[in-house]
Amino acid sequence: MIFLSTRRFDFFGYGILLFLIFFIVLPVLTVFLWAFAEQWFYPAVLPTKWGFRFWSLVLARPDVWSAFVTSIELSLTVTALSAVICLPAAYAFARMDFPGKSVFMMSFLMANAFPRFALIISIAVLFLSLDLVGTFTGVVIIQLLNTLLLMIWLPTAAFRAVSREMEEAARDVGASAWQVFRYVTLPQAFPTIAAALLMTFVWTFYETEGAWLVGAPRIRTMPLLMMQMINNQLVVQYGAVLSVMLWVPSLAAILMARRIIGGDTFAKGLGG
Amino acid sequence: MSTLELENVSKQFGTMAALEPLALRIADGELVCLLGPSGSGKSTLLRIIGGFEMPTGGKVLIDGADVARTPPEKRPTAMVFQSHALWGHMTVEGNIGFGLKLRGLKKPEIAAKVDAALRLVGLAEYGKRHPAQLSGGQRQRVAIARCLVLEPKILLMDEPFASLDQHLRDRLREEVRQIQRKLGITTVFVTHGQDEALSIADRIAVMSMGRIEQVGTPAEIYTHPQTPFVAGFIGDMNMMKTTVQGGAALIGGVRFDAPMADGEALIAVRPEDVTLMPSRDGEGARVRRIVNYGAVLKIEAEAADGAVWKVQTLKDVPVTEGGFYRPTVSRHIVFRDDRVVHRVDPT
Ligand SMILES: Nc1ncnc2c1ncn2[C@@H]1O[C@H](COP(=O)(O)OP(=O)(O)O)[C@@H](O)[C@H]1O
Ligand SMILES: [Mg+2]
Repeated sequence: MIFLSTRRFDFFGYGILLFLIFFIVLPVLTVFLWAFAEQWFYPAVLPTKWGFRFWSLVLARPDVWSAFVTSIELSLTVTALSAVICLPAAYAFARMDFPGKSVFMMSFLMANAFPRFALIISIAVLFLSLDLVGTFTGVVIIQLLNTLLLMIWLPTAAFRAVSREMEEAARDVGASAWQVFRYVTLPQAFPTIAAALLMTFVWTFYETEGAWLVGAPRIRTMPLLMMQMINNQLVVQYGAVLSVMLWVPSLAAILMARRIIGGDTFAKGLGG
Repeated sequence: MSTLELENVSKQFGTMAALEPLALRIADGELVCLLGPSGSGKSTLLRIIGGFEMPTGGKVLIDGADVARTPPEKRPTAMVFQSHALWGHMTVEGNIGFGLKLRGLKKPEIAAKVDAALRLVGLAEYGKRHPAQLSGGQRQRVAIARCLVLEPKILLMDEPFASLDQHLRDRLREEVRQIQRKLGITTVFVTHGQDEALSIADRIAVMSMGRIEQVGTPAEIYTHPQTPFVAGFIGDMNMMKTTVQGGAALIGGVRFDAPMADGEALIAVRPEDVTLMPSRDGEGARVRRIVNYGAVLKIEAEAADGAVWKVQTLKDVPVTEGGFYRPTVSRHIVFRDDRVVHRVDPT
């Protein structure tokens, strides 16, 4: 029995491993290899000539740099605006009672229950009449809408999780309502809020549907540029190099998240 | 020098009356326990004193000034919460010094005061730690230091040791008592444990269903309960329903003096006020069970009419299980309509 079940487990495990290798590791590896390949002819398993030629070519293109700047500007703007709009709202949802609160909360969920693409198209049509299509503002707005749910639900949960007695204890030693928020509530909720901010940044950076429908043709983000290059260029390496470049911010985000969420702050935030 | 007076304080949550209008006066330096079962309104009353709940009516006077509408940050009160409520993202020093920082004190001054407060609760070495790195008892000590460092006029404690084990609870209770004595700080201490109340309090306010049933010293509360609730809630008690006829009641073969109109009554007798005298088999009450508590024996004896006596005697009194004894009672209280009607107390 034990022998059998061990074998079965192994089979299952290997199956998953094969699946992962085939559908995730292999494509990613291929992209990486292409990014550093100067020549790669059909039967060869590895590139026939290695080098950084395409990196210098890609980095020399002005459209790459402008797309990079656009993407960073867009992500920063959306994250900042989202924080300004959503954090107070999240706090209100978590700590205050007002009529229509649950309806409001539900409406966010409902909006996300629709097929996203259809929603974006209808918004794009609306933006057309408002002259927002093809503008930075238009893309910012569509990305804000995209990240609203995340930036309200996560921080709301974070604020809710802050113990009432902790806040009352702060009042007790003389803190005003604002000081309670500043010195107790916010630091306690910080790890989760930081995670939500990071996710918003990363999500906005990589989002393509909304950016394309509302932003094209004038606003071009990094992922859009990459798609365009892969679709239009015969040279595979351009797309591959961009993919590897695009991989950098998400890696940075993950490392940051580990520092903020996995690190000391989190333990301390939870501790006690 | 601080006194606390509650005048007609009441609290309504929606349609539910959590507190009936009640009054309580606490003298300077006194430690008063609010004692009562869960849901009797102890926390609500304490939170009203601390400013976390607005009373529906009445006054909260600290040194004669009504603070009923003053927010907690402006009150000269400090509260120790059951969950300790330390701020996990600050160090122990940070926790204790936070209130001083808000008051705009200079750093060296804060450090000195924090250090003194830490030494007062016996945690001088622990300032740099985070609350997560402390034991349950140490956390409550920090919570107490956090209150005391602000030199409040009134110290409030809401079942501060409820989550600790018995041994630690006893020790911390003694420490709190000593510190409270030393500083002479007026204190309100909420508990649902009668042992805790009896051992720590100058006076106890017994609460039930949003009312203060009785206020008195532990000895008064124990020996002169004013209501059946107080009689039954504090200490062991034989509480027996009976019918008075001709100024007396007969229960379990014992005749009780009850000079009052005929009718229903409730008779309360402490187990230690019952004495068992040996009698012939079949007469008096039969001992069902004896539990040896070391210094005392706790005995259950059943009378012929079905009444069960809880008896407590010194351990050298010869009693055997299954034996027959005649109970005699030295003290008793007769209640009717929740009030004391008659009391027999030879001392
Ligand atoms: N914020 C509140 N809203 C509604 N009811 C409450 C609230 N706080 C307490 N109560 C009710 O008031 C009564 C007294 O509660 P509490 O003061 O906490 O009792 P205790 O501390 O003696 O256990 C309980 O019935 C409780 O359910
Ligand atoms: Mg309570």
